[in-house]
Amino acid sequence: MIPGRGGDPDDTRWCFAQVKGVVEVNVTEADIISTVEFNSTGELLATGDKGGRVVVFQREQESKNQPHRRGEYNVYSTFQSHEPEFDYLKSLEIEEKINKIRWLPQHNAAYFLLSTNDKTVKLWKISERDRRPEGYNLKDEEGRIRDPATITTLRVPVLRPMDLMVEATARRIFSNAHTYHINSISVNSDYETFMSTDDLRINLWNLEITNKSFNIVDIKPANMEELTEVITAAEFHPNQCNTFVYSSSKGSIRLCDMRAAALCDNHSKFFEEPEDPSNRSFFSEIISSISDVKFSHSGRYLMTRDYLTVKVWDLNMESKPLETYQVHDYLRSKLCSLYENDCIFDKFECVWNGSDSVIMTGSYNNFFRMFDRNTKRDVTLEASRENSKPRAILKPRKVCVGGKRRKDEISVDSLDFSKKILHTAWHPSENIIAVAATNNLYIFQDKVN
Amino acid sequence: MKRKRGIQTSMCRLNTDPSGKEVDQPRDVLSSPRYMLGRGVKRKLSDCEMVGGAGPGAELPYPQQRQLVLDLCLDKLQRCRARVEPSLHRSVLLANTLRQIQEEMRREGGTPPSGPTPSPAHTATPLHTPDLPPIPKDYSLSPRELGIAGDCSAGEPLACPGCEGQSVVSSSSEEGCTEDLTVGARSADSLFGSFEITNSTSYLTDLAFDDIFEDIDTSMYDSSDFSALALSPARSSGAPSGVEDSLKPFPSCTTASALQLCLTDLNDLDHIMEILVGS
Repeated sequence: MIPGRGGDPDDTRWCFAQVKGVVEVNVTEADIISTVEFNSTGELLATGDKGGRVVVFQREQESKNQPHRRGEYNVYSTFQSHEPEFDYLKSLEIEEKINKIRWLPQHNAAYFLLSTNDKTVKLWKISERDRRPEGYNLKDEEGRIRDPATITTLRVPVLRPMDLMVEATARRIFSNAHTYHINSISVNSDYETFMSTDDLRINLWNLEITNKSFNIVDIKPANMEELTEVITAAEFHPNQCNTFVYSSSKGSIRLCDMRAAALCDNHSKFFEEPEDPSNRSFFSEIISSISDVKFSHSGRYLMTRDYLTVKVWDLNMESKPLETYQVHDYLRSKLCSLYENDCIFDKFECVWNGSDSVIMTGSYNNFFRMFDRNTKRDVTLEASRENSKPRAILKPRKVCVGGKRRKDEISVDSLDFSKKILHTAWHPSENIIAVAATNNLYIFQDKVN
Repeated sequence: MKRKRGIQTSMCRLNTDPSGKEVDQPRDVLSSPRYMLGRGVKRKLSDCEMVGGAGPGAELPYPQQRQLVLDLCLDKLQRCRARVEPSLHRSVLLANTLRQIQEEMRREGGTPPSGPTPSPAHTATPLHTPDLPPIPKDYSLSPRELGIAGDCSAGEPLACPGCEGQSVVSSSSEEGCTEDLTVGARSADSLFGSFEITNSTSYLTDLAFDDIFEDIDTSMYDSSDFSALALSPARSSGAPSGVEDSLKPFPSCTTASALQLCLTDLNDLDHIMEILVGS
């Protein structure tokens, strides 16, 4: 699905590029990828996992000798971002799982990203060191202190080249501001502030200040037993630094303007689609819970993901979405089973491509779906080791709902619900996507002719 | 907590089939009970599938569907509390689903209430039958019942009709739907109350010092107040309660009194109070 190239479905050509991670029969839980994010130029790709580690890949410079091979992503830096903690009062473990990573725009040679677990947000600086000073007066080359009595001359240390070293240091730690589990972070377009969101509150931080944060949304009721709705995701508008949205477990999205009041409990806009009475079931509310919300790059549209659909909203129309795409409607009749095995609570994310013409989200059986908003075509692809030959073109997959199953189709009952693609990312300007399949990261590119 | 024999959680397991119809699959973390998921092979049609309408004519009647969902809901709420990382989001969704089903059941009627005191209909049929046990009309997940904790800490006299009614629980067939609902109701409250991730310092500063000692105030030695207090395992004032207290499943109500019921969940302060007041 090449943006701008509509028409013939044969134009849809995504190829396998790389896969990161090991093939294991028993997946180590700590290796399960929990977030994926490109930086603003697409040069870097970060993943976070359940073990609290962050792995950053860097795209190598494209080589003129091999023009058909776009730059590969190779490991640039790996560091332990969060450690498991223990809350002694509640006897609860605080997971080290990285819930979200968000990159900051680049100002200088170093890269900065925010990573968060359930409780604490950290600002990491990733910098390169390829030189080191040599020729100290008071220390010898091994670092041992020299006896000052032996020093007879003075010299000026010089910088000498060394092997490239990439180091990550935690520059800020934003902690103790959240009583509930943090589910989102979002950097403001002013590049000075960011917000962190938990189930009931949203806090605004200044990137420089760690001992203070401002609470801008609080939906905690006076009596917790009256609680019926939680915040599930939030994001700043990409251009307007005063605007942000947050989604709820009841399927609504609220757009807030920070200029209106210090506490944005009153929304400026309220987006909600009236429920279709014919689709009502015990699980209606659960499947309407929004698991991800993303502004388009242009800032004109909003995309939300609930259990079965992806919806695109126009910011100027609150009454209903502009477009609704069925991700895996064949699951609608299986909701009870999915409720029983807890799959109904899976939180899928969704992403825009660089031009906002195609949207992508994951599904089960390591399938992921792309929807072209212009041509209205969609495709289902699979991230699997079998399709992992270099530059192998991915074949579209199809799920057979009932009746006769064609040769290449897979029936609903044969889907593997343990293989779910919750996290995906799209390069900001090119057709390169990163898809997290449990503990493996797949990178696909569109075919370059 | 005792549950009626109805739904087994393994019923809808998609990965194992004791009858041996399926191919052996490698056992790994993803097919552990935590995931309980399909491994891409055929499996037996389960009751859940019937609810989903997998086959024409195989569908359960609506009340049974609803009962199935209700039981699953309660089971999940129970397990939710026992997890290492309780998820407020999930608990809220479960509680809402539970509430929705209960309201629907209530709207449909059922047996009339047994009397002015709202007590579960213990004269009901043995609750392990697959038929829908009668739900007392007056049972509800009202804030009143759930609001035990909140009100208690404020130190006001609390009339807790639901609690009082249910506290006088006979030792006979307590298991089953109504029991589950009761437990579910209380568990929802302690569920939501136990979600906060706090660190020591903020926890202590949040705690109003007087709240701890309010309970010892003699003006509260009123039996109805006390039973209400006793019923709250984790009050919102934040009386320290370890995870064992708030996450332990409620013992079955076969015991004779509410005090017995809740003693296992009381923290030290409540224990002292109970001793002072006497049974």
